[in-house]
Amino acid sequence: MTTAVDTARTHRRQTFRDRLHKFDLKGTPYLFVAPFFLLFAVFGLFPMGYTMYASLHDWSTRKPDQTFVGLDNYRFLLFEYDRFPWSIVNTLGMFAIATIPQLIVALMVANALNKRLRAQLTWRMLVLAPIVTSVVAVGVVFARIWGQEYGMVNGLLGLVGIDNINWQAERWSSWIAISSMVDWRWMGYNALIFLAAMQTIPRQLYEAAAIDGAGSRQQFWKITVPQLKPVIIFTTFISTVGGMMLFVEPMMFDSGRFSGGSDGQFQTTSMVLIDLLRTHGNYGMSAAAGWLLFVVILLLAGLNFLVVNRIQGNK
Amino acid sequence: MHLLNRHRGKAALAAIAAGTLALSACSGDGDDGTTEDGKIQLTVQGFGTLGYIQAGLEEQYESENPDIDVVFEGDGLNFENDFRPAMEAALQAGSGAGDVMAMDEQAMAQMMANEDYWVDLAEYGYDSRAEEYPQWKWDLGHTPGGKLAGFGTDVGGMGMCYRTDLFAEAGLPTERTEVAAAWADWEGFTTVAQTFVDSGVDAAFLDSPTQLQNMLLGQVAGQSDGQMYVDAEGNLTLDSEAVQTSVNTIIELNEMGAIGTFVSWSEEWIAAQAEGGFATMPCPAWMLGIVEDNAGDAGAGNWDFAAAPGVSGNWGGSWLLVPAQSPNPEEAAALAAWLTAPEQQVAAFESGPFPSTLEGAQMVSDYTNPYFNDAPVGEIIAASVAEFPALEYTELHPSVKGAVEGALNGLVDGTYSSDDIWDAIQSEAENAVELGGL
Amino acid sequence: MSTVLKPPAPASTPARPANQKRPKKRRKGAGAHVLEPTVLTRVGLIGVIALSIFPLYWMIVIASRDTAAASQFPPVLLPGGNLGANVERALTDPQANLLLGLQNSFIITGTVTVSVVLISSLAGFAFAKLQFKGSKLLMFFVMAIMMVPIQHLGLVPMYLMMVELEWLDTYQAAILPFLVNGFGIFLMRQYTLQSVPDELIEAARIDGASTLRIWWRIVLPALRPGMVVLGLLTFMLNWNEFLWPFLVLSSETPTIQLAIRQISVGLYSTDLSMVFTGTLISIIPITILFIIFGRQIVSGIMEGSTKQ
Repeated sequence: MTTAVDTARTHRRQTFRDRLHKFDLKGTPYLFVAPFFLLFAVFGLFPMGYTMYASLHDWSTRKPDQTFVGLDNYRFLLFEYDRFPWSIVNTLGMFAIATIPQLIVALMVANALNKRLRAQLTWRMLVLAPIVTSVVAVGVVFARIWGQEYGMVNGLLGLVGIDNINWQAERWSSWIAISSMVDWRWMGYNALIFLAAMQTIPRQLYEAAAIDGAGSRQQFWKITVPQLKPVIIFTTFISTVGGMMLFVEPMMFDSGRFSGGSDGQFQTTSMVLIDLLRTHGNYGMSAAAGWLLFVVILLLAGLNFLVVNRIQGNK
Repeated sequence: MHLLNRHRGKAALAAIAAGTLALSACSGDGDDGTTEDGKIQLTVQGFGTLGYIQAGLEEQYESENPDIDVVFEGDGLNFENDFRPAMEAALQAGSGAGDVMAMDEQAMAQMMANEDYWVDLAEYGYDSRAEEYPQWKWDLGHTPGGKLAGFGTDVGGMGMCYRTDLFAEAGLPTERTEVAAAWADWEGFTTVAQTFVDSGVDAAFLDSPTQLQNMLLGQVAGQSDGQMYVDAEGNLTLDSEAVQTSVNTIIELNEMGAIGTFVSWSEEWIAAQAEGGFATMPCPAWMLGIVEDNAGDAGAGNWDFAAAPGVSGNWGGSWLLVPAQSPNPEEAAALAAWLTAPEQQVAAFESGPFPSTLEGAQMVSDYTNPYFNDAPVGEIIAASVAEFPALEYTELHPSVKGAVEGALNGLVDGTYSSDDIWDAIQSEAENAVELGGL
Repeated sequence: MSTVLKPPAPASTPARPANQKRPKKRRKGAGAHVLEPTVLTRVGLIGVIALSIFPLYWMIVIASRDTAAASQFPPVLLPGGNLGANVERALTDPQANLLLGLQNSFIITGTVTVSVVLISSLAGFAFAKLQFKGSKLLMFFVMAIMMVPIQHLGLVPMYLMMVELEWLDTYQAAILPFLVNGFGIFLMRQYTLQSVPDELIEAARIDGASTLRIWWRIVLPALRPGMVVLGLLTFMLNWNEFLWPFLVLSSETPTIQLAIRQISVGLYSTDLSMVFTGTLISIIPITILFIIFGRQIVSGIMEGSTKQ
């Protein structure tokens, strides 16, 4: 009898263990990914939904009643509040003029780093060094460098007889100044990414070209650049999203303000969003600006996706 | 759990060390307004330079009131960008506003609009302080419903800071009474500006449009109907005499080439004060300490201070309020009253803010400032506020003011011509009203 | 993107102990050492590096001098003797809050980094090696939101949420939103695919090890290099975070970035040598990390990019 009980017990234990094992196989994976998705639900999904709600309401520090106004906030931002559409132009413009010179320099630097250099790591780290600087620190230093009366750039231009430029006064000039901060900080990073891609280019291509008598410059343009095209486009589009969030550099360029110059010459969309929230205390408008920014980013990401897919398809 | 600040640092560090980075709401240290050793902790939320820390008032009050621990926060904060939004949020949130809060006059109307935010100081018998103040300063410390919510700290009596070296170079008088006589009125001021510009001296006459705009706006409003940018109902009043006169004066001076592009508080504005980038700047009392810091050794001996053009004027000046969220309103009110008493106002004056009590102003009337060539600052400022009429800053004033000042900076940096500036002001101001929502 | 989602062919290499170094793969991309650098290359490279380093160097120059030095042209190029005094002044000035900012930044960034690495290695392992329904869909989801800076788009309601919860000026407000990091999961998934052979997991399963135990005993040790890289990148990124702390923290409870903005645009902006000293102090922690872990950071950036 005792043996019968024992067997029954063992049997029961086994089913429990089986069940545990089964759960371990089926359930644990969900537990492992749960922290991320829970956090995302609370700090990603919920706020996005709530932003939508807020954006449809007239809601500010002075009007806490949250009156439903439909798409009125969006209408105001898009069609009446010039600063908002301009902020998108500014952000994209700064991104464009930050990207092109940066790509060219980064390519050149990557090409140089790809050659037989001693102390490889040291060179790479030196190129990457600006990334240690925080964006706020970059802003502080570059605001001085681009100052109108006492800045270094105007000092240098003065040597060739150009009068002091008020870099904050015009769109183009303020964009250049701010782009320089972005370029300076990220050039080395992109150079390393290009370098990594260059190292995957098969050596035979170069050897064959060398046999055909192509010099190093020709090799660069005929082999390196075409081979890197996908990476270049990919990194460019990836950085669009970061570029759309540009905030700290232009803020520091305007002594910590959010208005981006006297007429929003370099006010980015993020700055408009914060200006609406902090200066005007207008939650509804700020939320609407957040959604519009999101839509712009989605459009860019979609474009990104299409272009990258096409490149991969062509390969 | 609260984030580290200077005063809660140790407790928070200990909590971290113990590994209790709990996701729960705050653990409550200091929330009931007491410190670990059972003292009542009173936090004073300030901005700019109120001068309390510099005058050592914390130690003084604590030694006179051993059961109180005073904490001054926010010294050096920019009012418009940082302090006001943070305090608005704290008042709305119902926590974080401190026990005593300083408030600049520009935002007083906005802050007073919500009666529930403030403790009635009359409840603790402080309505007897009425006679210590000029009538207008006392009145503006009340809510629309008549609750006594704030004690005046300082007044921003006005004068002009100017560079004697640049004035001499331009062939202008340098002695402060002569300078004051030359710009006794605004016509005189324009003439002086013209002379300076014509002399070809390599510097701007004025720093930027905004300082002058503020000074002139308040002056003209005081002389006329008191109306400035926007009325209490949120209607723009850009055709008021104050706005028209001030903006038109700016346009005239700008066409003359007398206004620099040194945006107030920018890096260039600061550097220019040391390097002599501009010759003159309207200076409320509290600005003197700032100029001294900015100009430093490089500008020593070059700055002087003279009476401002026109009649009396006032720009800036603050109140101390007790938020209703303070756990110790009575003690907070006592501290606010003490800080604004004449003796303490005089002590704070060392850092710039000019006493707003009648007695305090009397006590500093013979003060001279060594950095400004021993200018009789006390006398000049006292004279400028002597007959000052109360100005009503409305709830939307701060945001419309910001919008107008942005446009005026645009006039000077070439974004707007003299012809489009009024349109720009109109549309920026309309946006500010629309967004501010009333 | 879909190509990345496909699991790679099972690792053909024999299972090796987790602590053994992976063989270096980079060599086979042999374009690397084709050309000797010309003089022009060297000069050009040195020129670019000089431009990269100059603002950092100039920061030190001004921090070691006084305010007036920042406004001069030609610019002052040699360090002065005030660095020690300026640093002491910056650190001890009670209004500057630099030490406090450093402390807060360390606590916030450190917590975010450790949590992100753990959360990511858990989820990355699950996506790489465990079979469960919907895993592809969920991973696609992670990839999709990886591109979007979620923390910045829901700013307004998240801020209002913090106000409601009375979480302003608290650690959790500054930390929690940044634990959502799709990139980390993506990266750890790739590392797991690369460095944890299926055989090892199978063997452990046969021995009766639970999934959690497998993660702890087998996956984590193998992932260590990847975790270091993810940790470094996360730390550097979050050390620089400005916008969200700016909204939910105050000048009295700053991160180092807020403290720097405060001394540079508040009324203490008057003393430029101190502002520059402050910025200098603010970049020291990352600089130290950079010097110690330079190799990992460089290879992390380079490997991370080829994985995409």
